[in-house]
Amino acid sequence: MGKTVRWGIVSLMTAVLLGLPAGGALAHKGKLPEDALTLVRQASALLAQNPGMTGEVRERLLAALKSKKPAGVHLDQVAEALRVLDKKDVGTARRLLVAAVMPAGMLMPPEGPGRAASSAAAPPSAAPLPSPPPAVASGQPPGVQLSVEVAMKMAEPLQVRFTGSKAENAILAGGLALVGFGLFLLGRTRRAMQP
Amino acid sequence: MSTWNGVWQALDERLKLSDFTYPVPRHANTVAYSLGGISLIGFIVLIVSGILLAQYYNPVPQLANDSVRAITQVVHFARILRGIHYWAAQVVMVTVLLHMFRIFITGSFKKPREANWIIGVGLLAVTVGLFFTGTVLKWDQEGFEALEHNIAIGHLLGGLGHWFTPAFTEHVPLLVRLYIAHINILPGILLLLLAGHFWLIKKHGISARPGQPVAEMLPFTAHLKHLGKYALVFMGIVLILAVLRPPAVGPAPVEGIEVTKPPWPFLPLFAVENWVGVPGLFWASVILFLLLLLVPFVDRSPHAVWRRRPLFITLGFLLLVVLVGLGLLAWLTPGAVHVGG
Repeated sequence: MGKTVRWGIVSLMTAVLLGLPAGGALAHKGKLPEDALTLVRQASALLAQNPGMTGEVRERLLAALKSKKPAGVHLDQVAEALRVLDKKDVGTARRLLVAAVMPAGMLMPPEGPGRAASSAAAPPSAAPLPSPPPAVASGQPPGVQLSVEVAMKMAEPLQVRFTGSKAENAILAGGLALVGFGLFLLGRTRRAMQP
Repeated sequence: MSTWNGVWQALDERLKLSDFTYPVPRHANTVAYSLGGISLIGFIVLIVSGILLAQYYNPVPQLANDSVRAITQVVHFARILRGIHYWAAQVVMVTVLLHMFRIFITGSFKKPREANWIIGVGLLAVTVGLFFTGTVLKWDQEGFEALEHNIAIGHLLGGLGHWFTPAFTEHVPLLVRLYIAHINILPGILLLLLAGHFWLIKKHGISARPGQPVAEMLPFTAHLKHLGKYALVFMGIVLILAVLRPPAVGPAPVEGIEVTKPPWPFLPLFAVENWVGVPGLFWASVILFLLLLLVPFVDRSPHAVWRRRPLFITLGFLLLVVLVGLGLLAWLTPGAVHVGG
């Protein structure tokens, strides 16, 4: 391969690798929504998905506090979340934000936490606009606090892990046996194919 | 005559199964030449596990994420089933790409197999489409953002992209239509393309190893038997991964933010998108597939041995290095906002 071609390839790769990170800043960013409820839900989701994006979260919380459409949001909890976020306490900030948009008096329904969680985690369009909760997170009745916990859990990725249960161990052993048996058969064929 | 032989003879008389004993070269049993067959095994696993998962999945947007969570947490063994589906998809994506890479390196796309290469590129496109729609179906933030990209590209295409936007019909949510694409349209196209792919392989035969004479032939049934052994290994690996590393599912999506990165096959395109926005994502995909389609028409020399095709092998490796480089870049650097936020 000629020297020119080699240098061409190196230049192209360098341009691509250097150009792309800078390009990130070029991507456009749309306007923030106007209503506080959407802004707080977005901020809460951002914190749950990527706690490092505090800049974007702060931007949304400040916009929510200044919003002319504050319906459905307990703004003093949002302000408290902003203060807590400045102290880098992401967990408490999330808890406050979840409570800030919690439907008023949301208690555990008779059928258990599953449905309460589902309705709390449904997309914005699916749930009717709630009225602000009557009390701050710390003074809420136990039912509301429990709902906050459930909503917090529902807003986090569900990462299932290997528990080592009997069923899991049996399936794992089955998988290992299949791999072992398959490799044994492949190896035997390979040996038979050799002259 | 044993009972088994009797049954075989009766079946063969009616189904002509012995027609499958046509000769194939012995090297068809090597890993490199079995990658297409291993991908087929993966597709079969995906279809079976997909049919079972469909019994528990609800594609209505308000319920989709809940149903995936229920599959993961509530329904007995559905978590393992979802793990099998997820990991089989990952492995198939890898084997399809490796299969294509092997075809390129060994020049197996050359005359008279150009048409089969083109069908293969179509199969890759359908596989990517299945991977993409599968990502959307989870209906978590990653899936939702993938759908937003789908809509953005639909808008970019104007009238041609109308199907990809919610405006196509107000009565059926786009998620439901993508679900139909995932379980019906795309698998249908896949089966048609696979039928064409296999028919052409049968017509032209399995390509020779470049620079090496065909030493010995085997009946095709022996090759199928060998693929069965790969199937055991494939299924074992997928089961182990499904148990030890079950796939996660994120929370129900929130509109208006862009916070996730796409799954690994889309990372190189994501890097381009970070650079030039959604049009970059679309045009990079178009260019990539056009380049793949052009391969048999530009690399027309009769030589299949890689050493005698230095220019095209270099270009192929360069493309691979660029794609891997872009993928790593997108993986390691923060993503930009393209459609949300």
